[in-house]
Amino acid sequence: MATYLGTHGSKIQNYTTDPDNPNTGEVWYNATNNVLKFQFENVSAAGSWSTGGNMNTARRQFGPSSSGTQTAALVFGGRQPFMALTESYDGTSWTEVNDLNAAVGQNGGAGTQTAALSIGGEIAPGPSVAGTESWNGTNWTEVNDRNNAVSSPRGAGLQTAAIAFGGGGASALTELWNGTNWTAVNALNTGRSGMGPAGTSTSALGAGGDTGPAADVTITEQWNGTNWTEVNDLNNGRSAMGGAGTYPSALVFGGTPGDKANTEEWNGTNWSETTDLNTARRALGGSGTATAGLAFGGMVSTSNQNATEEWTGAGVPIGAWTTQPSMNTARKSLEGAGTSNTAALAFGGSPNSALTELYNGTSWSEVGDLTLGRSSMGAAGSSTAAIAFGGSPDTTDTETWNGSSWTEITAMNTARGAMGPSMAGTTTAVLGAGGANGGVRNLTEQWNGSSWTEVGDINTTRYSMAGAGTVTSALIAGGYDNEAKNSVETWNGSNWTDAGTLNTGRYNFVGSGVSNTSALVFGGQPGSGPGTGKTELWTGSSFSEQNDRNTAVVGPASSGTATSALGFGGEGPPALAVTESWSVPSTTTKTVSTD
Amino acid sequence: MAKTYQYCVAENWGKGFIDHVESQRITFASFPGNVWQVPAYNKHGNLWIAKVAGVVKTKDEAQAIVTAEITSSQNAWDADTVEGETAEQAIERKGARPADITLEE
Repeated sequence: MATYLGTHGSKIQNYTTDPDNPNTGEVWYNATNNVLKFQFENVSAAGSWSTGGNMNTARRQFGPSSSGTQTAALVFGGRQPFMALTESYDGTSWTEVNDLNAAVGQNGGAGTQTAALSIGGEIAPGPSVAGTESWNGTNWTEVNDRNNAVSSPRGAGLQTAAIAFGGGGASALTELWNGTNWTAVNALNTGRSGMGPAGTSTSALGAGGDTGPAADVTITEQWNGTNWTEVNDLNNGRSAMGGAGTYPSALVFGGTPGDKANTEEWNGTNWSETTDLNTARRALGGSGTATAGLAFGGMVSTSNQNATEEWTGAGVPIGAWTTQPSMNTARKSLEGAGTSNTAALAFGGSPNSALTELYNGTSWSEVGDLTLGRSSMGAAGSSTAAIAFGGSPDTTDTETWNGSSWTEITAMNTARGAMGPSMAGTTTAVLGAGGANGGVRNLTEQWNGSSWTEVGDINTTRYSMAGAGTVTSALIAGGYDNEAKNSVETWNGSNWTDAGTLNTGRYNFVGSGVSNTSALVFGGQPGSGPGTGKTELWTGSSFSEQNDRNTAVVGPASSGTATSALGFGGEGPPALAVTESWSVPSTTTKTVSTD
Repeated sequence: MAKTYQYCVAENWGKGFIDHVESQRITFASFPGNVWQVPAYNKHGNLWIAKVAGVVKTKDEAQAIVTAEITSSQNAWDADTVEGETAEQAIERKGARPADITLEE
C-alpha cells in the first residue's frame, strides 16, 4: 500500500500556523488548533448544462451522431414534417450540409460528425423502413437495409461497427452492423422504445424507454457484445431521452411523460440524478461523453426545438484570488506588464509617477524609472520586455523596457490615455484602442516595432476599459463615456465587432489574457459608488462571474493570462499597494473532521 | 408568502445564453412562450435576466403566456387526426396530448 511518505516525500509536519503556500494534497498538523489539515483543489461539485448554438431547423425524433463529440456532431432527418436535412455542429454553430437521400423521421443514429449511419425509421407516418444510409463527411449513400424494419430504433457505435436496438411497438430486436451488412443478434430482455442510448457495438447501454403508450419504465440493460443483461434501474422512469457516453460512464437526459429536464449519470453500476437540462424536452438527441456531452433538438409540448445544450461534468477547476506581498509604493492609475502571476512589472501611476517595480513571484523590488512619469498608460509585454505608450497628462510618448531600463521610441500619432491595450502584445506588436484626451476617442493605433498606424475604429467610444489579447486577436470590455459601459468588442486583426456584455458594467478596471477567446477582467467602478472586486471570465462568447478579489479596487494594473493573473495597486481609496494572484486551478485549506 | 421564483420572457439565442457558471449557481427552467424561471431574490438570477435582456413578468403574467401556448398546442394536437387511428396509435405517432402547466409562486 502506498504511504503518504512514499507519495509526497515527507512525513506529516507539525506547524504552529498553517504553511504559506501548501501544495495540493499536502497534509499537516496544526499544533495550535490541534487539527489535521490538507490542501484541496477547488473543483465544481456537479456538472452543468450551458446553451450551445441553435440548430437551423427545429426538429424531433431524428438521427444523432451518437459517437460524436461535444464540438463535432451531426444531426440528420427527423420530423415534423419528415425531413432529409442534415446539420453539422462545430462546438459553436450548426451548419447545413448535404441531405439524406430520403426524408426520414424516427431514425436511429450512430457514428461521428464525419462518418455516420442513419438507421431505419419512417418515411411517412405509418410503415417503418429498414433503409440505412452512410455519411462520409460530405454525402449520404444508401447501403444495405436492416433485416427488420423498425421505427425509432436506438443506435450506438461507429459507422463501421454499430448496434441498433429496440424501437416502436415495444420492439426488442437487436442488430449489429459490420460496415457492410446487418445481422440479427440476441434481443433485449424487455422490448421498448425511446431508450437513452450509450456505448458501442460491443458494450452498450439502453436506459428506460416505454413498453407501450404511457408505459415509461426505469429498466436499464447492458449489452456485452453477445447478450443483454438487466442492470440497476434509472431513478426516473421515462422514454424519448437523449444519451451520451459509454457503458461505464454514461449520461441520459430529458424525455417524457410530459417534458422532462432530468439528467442522470451512470457510473458503471448505478444511476444518480444530477443537474437538469435548462430546457425540459423529449424526443431529443445526444452526442459526446458523460463529461462533455451534447443535447440538441426535441420537442416541448407540440413545438419542435432547435436548442442545443452542452454538458460539462463535475470536477472543473475553479479559479480563486490569493493575497501576495504588496508593492513597495502604493499608487493608483498605474500600468502593468507580464505573462503570468509570478512575473510582472508595475510602472507609473498617479500623479505622474515614473516608479517601476519588478515582481518575481515572491516579492517586489524597485528597478529603473520610466523616462516620462505618467499615469493611465497603455502597456503590454513581459517583465523583461515591456512597452508603455500614451497616458496622462495627455502624451504620445512611447517607451520600451529591456529588463533593466526604459528607452523612448517613436511616439503615437494621437496623444491620449486610458486606452484599452492588447495586454498580451509585445514590444514590437501592440494595439491601443479608444481612450481620452479632453474628449472621448474611438480610434485605434497599432505598433509594428517601428511606427504607429491608425487601424479600424472601435464601435463604441469609451475610455478606462479593460483590454486583453494581441494585435491579431484582442478584446475590450466596459469603460466609460457619460456612464459605465458593459459592452464588449473583439478585434480580429482588421475590425472590431460587438460581441456581448459584461455581467457588471464598469470602468477603471483591467484585463489579462492572450486572445479574444480567453480573457479575465477584474476590479473597477460600476458607477458612482465604491469599487468592486468582481471578476469575470471571457471564453469567446460570453462573460461569466468568477470568485471575487479579496480586495475591492479601482484602477489596478494587471499581468498574465485568464488562468494565471496578477492584480496590483489601484485605489480603494486610498492608493493601494495590494497584490493579488489569480490561479486556475486554485486550492483551499480544509480541516480533517473526526466527529 | 415569499416568492420562490421570478419569471421573464427571453429568446434563447444559443451559445452564451446560459453559461456553465450561471447554470452551476442557479436552477433554470423554461416553459412554452420563451418563459424562463429563475430563483427570486437572487443576485445571480437578476444578473442573468439583465444579461439576456429578459422582460420580467409577474407569475400571473407568465402563467397567462404559458397557458395560451399550451392551449394552442392542445388545439393543434386535437386537430391532428388520422382516419381509423386508435388512441394508442395517435399517442405513438404524435406523443401524449400536451398537459396543462401550472407555474409555481
